[in-house]
Amino acid sequence: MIFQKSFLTLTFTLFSFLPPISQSEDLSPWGNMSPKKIYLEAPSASLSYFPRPSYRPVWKFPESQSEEIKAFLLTILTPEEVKYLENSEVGIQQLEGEVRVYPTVSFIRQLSREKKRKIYQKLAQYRANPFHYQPVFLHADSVEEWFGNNRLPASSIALLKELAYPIGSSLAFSDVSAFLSISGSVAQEESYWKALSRNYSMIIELAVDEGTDLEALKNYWTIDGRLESATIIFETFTRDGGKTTFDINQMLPSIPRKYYNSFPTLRSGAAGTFPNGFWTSLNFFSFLPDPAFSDWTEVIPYLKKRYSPAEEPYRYGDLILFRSPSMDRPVHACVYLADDLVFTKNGISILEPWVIMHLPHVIDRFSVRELPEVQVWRRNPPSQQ
Amino acid sequence: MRSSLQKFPLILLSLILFGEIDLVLAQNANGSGESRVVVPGQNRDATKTFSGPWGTISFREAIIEAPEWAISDGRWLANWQEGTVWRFQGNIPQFRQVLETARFSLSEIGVLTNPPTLRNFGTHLEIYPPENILLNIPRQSRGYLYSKLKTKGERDLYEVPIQLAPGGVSRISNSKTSISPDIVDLITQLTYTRRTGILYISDLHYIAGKAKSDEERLRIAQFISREPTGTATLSLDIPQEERSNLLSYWSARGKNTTAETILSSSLENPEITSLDLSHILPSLPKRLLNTYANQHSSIGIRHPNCYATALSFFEDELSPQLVETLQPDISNRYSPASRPWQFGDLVVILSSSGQWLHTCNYIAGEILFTKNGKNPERPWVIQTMDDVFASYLREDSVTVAFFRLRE
Repeated sequence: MIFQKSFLTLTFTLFSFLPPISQSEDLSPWGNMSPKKIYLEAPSASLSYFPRPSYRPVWKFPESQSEEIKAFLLTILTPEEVKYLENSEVGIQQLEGEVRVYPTVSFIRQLSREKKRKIYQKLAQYRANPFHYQPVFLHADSVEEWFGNNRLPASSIALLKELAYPIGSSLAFSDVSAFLSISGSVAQEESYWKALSRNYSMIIELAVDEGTDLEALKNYWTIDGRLESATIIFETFTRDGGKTTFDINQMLPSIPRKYYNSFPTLRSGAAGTFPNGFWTSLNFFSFLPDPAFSDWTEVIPYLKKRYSPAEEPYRYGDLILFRSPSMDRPVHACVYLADDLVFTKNGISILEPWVIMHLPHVIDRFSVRELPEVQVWRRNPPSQQ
Repeated sequence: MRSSLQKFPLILLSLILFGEIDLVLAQNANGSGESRVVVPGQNRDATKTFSGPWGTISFREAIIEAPEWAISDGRWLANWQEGTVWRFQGNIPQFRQVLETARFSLSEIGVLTNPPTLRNFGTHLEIYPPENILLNIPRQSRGYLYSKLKTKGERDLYEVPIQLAPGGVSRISNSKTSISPDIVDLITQLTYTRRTGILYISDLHYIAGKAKSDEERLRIAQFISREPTGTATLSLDIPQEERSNLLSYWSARGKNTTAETILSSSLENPEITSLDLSHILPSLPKRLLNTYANQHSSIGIRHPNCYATALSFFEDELSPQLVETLQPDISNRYSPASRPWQFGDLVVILSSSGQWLHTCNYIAGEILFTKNGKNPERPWVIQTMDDVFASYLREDSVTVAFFRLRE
């Protein structure tokens, strides 16, 4: 409880203490980085484990009554729109312990963004609506940017543009049924399904030249020499001075280096649990991962033992913990690298790769139902481990 | 079985050393097979480019140095004050014979075979060579003499010398060092070769005595641990029609899913014109590249060796069963491979008697992924074929065989 209080303000101040992206590179303790974005799509084999939803969109309201849902919909939709839903092929269906609404694709398409946002906020409370509970995220200013020029046909891009809605600085998308329904063939449907698994990551090169303060840069990326392998690699590539570049990948500790830009396999869960953000962050400095760290209940006790609340300036290796205020528990963790970049695995799914992302985008991912509290922890020095 | 393997003898007929430059005369063995001249003492080009089914890969050399914690072969660091002691398992006439064959002068032989320089323990001789003699032994003579020094007791640096990286001091000192130029010169002076041209150093007790501090002695240990590695970058500036070939090569028939994921995505971004090899390697070598074995990757004092490394190339973790294997049985998992060699192929260097001297993995072009030796001060690196082969040219001729993991 004490630590909760000490972190309370961080939710609101996080972005103010993170150095702005436009900060002069020469002054940045992390040096001259050149991140380049890549898009990772889940392997087809992994996607095949996930059944695709039907073409017919359905909104599920567990533990509800139809009158209650109708009343809810009337707070957002016009009476005509609610009537339209009632009079559609299936109508508003009352099942045992659940109400289902079957909007048509054309109905969803004509809904305004604001109406959609309000309804989807409600649907996101229920795991029964998997793509509302955890939408597909498009971390880009536009749908076109996210999918590039040739990945999807123009008609699909147009539909996505209509149906995507903003969460923070990202676009979210929940109408997977509607999207798959416009595919023209099984092959195209599989291709669309794969396209929706897109995540982005970064390839980052670090450039040094005659003017670089190598000692300061080494201290940053090796955490004052505590990262032994990073120290060796940094010295190997900078010992002779001059202008050179090397990939940040090689500076990462063993576990993140191994998993960076890859997807978990079924083998990853052979021990009984799959890696998630907690597993990734708490094992960040380990050589042999502790599978227990996938369990959120392990997180706070471990942090209290090995980490301390961090103060700015935040630095490489700091653990960023997301807490749900309503559930009063951690919901995600990632590791700060530099600038606003973090190493993260967003969730336990095998469709979620280990990536380097902008922190605000990671926050968006965990803001579907509520804005998380963000806390920053730093690993204790060896003498206090 | 062996005759069906793709192999090429590394032939070395004669080796004459002139300073750091080696002259090697070689010819094709029996006029059959494929031969390659390997020159252990030769310095290499720092940058190379290889094109082929893998695309175009550029290799830029860097010199990696063991960290303090990885220096395990530092017995001399603990007892350097004992000074230089040669131990000879034999009598004085036999030792005299060795010195004569090594072309020591009569006066030098006189000094080295009489007290106080020599002490006869009955079971063996101990010789405490004067500085002027120690420093002025010609390289060939030093190599011959030191090959004759051994006792029944603990194996010392004369019996098990420290092997320097191919190219020797002139190569490893291309990269800055904090040890003094005088010490570097001394190491150069005391470097010697045996028959096949591999470069060794044994006189570390003497060199340590010339260092100014324990700190410098440690730096010397790190300096002689240096070996070449590098960065390799794959060009992604390729025509659309060649992309599937590139993906096919690096994904190794589905065994390297990492490559498939990262290459497909990187090829989408026109800003990414090249990709560091460390992104493309399977998860295990990706994790190990340019690192040293630590207590976590070792089993007690058993450290990962070349077999555990090479045979685990496509695996998730190093196989602990292979860590101490002297000659693993690969017959169930691998088949002899022929050209064109493929990503991840197992490369085995064999002695003339068929004993495995080393294994590593083929990457592309002339680049191999290797851990040269099981000592923790030997890192996992990428090196050129010439460098790896030169390190294991322990006989006049050794052979190299390629194997491929079965589907």
